[in-house]
Amino acid sequence: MVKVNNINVFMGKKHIIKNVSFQVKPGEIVGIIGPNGAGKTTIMKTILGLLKFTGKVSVADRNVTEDNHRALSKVGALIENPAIYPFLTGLQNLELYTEDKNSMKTVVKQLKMQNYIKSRAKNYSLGMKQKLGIAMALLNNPNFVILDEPMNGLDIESTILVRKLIKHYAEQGTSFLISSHILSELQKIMTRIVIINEGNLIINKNIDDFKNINHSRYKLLTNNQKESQKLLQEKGMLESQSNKYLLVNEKNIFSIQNLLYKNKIQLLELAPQQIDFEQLVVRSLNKKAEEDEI
Amino acid sequence: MKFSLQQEFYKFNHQKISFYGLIILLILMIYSAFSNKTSTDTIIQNFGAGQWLTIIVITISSTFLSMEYTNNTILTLFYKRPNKFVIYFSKLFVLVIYSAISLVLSVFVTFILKELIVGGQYHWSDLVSALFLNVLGTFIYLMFIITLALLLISVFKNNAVVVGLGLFNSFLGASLSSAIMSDFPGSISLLKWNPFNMIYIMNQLSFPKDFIKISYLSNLQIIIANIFYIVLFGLLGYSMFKKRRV
Ligand SMILES: Nc1ncnc2c1ncn2[C@@H]1O[C@H](COP(=O)(O)OP(=O)(O)OP(=O)(O)O)[C@@H](O)[C@H]1O
Ligand SMILES: [Mg+2]
Repeated sequence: MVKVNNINVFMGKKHIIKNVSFQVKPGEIVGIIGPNGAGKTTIMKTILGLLKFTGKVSVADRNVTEDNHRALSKVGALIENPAIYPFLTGLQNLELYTEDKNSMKTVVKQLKMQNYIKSRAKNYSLGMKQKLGIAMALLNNPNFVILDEPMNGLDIESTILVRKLIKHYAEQGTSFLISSHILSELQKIMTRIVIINEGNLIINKNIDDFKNINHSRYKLLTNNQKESQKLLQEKGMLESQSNKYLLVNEKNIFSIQNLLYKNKIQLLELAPQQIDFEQLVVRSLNKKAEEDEI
Repeated sequence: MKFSLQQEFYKFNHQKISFYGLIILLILMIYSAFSNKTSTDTIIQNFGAGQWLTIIVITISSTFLSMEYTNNTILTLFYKRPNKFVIYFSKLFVLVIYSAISLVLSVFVTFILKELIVGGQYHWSDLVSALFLNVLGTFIYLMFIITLALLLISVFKNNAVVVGLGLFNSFLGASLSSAIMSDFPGSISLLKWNPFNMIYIMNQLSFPKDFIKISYLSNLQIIIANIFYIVLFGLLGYSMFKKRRV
């Protein structure tokens, strides 16, 4: 659906995006993650043909350039703040770009905006504006939707609603590229993760593969943690500690069990470490930084 | 293109500023009519409509473009539209039409005010052609103002700055131009083409005798010079608009 091939973006002399390539397949929900200033918004703007860039961007096999946006006819986007004319009502804002009144009504209903859609957008709350921005992006049955921080300002109920809606559209074949700082939120919907740091793409993986590569750690609890710690340290098999647990590598778990048995230490618990998603991302970012230093 | 024009007209109509512009014009014309003694000159000058319109039009023009940036809607405009020229041209076109409508309206108001204040004292047959020339001159100058406003917004990105410069131009531009020319009488042949001198077109076409002495340009020259600036500002404005990062 969308192919980003080796793009570079400069602003003045600053190299903002460095040789980034990735693809979004039909129905895929790609989460784009990275620290502030990493270049997420810049990548999104580049795909929309809003910036000068080198490399290639294509949507549905048609090239996007700064001067030619024909490939974007079936693309919807919400970039940073929702693009809304305050002097128009929500509905008028939508009408400005709608190609099909029925699809417009559907979107309004799906986002549960019927109550206020006919009042002026300047009186909307932050969350209401955000929903209108999402509605604009979902207008005209798009093939591909870009959402930059879509959950900004949304309450819990709306967040769940939007999450469901994204899944619903993806099931119909719409592809998504979504950035968010709320990792747990993206984690629930994305099927592919792209991690960006300082303009470099450092990870581009199917979400299951991403979780697996980081699942090689086990946590260990014995009836004598102090002694176990000493033993493991001697053998160089202790990776780190977390709360009361000792953390070890998966490849050592059998030798560790033998070692403990020989030393008459009882095993209480040995299980894959359930680390949360945020830690995975932070770890990926750190790993990359360490590699760079070498 | 048609779609883009419709969209811009739609936004323009709903952005109340266009309507307020006309109301303010009406009030200022009435104020001019009752605060000065009415003569053939004030009638031909459309009860000051030209001067007020330069201020109104620069404010409206710069707001009409800058609001796309303040509302972040420029992003949607850009990616939904095949190219930037269509957007810029549509804005320009809407503003030119607005100027034309305002002028037509001001002529109506002039007709009514004249009948109210002096009744049949002056004959329309003596006034109409001069009034028409005044409206024509004003219309050309308003296009100068519109292209200038769009250019300035693309350069300064700040509505207040552009409106300030517009006010300066309307109130002080003409005297500045005259001051420069009287300070450097040797260079008048060159200085008479300066952009601040262009404002005289509003009155020169209907009062050529008086104004040629001030502007040092013939009627034809001042028309051509205005058109030159309109094209120049239009092209420069578009290229700045196109280059501006969003
Ligand atoms: N108009 C601009 N001129 C110069 N540099 C810019 C401009 N816009 C962004 N940048 C730079 O580009 C880099 C990437 O910015 P970008 O907005 O893409 O980051 P981001 O990943 O979206 O960050 P955030 O999470 O804060 O939204 C930053 O270092 C920023 O300083
Ligand atoms: Mg961003």
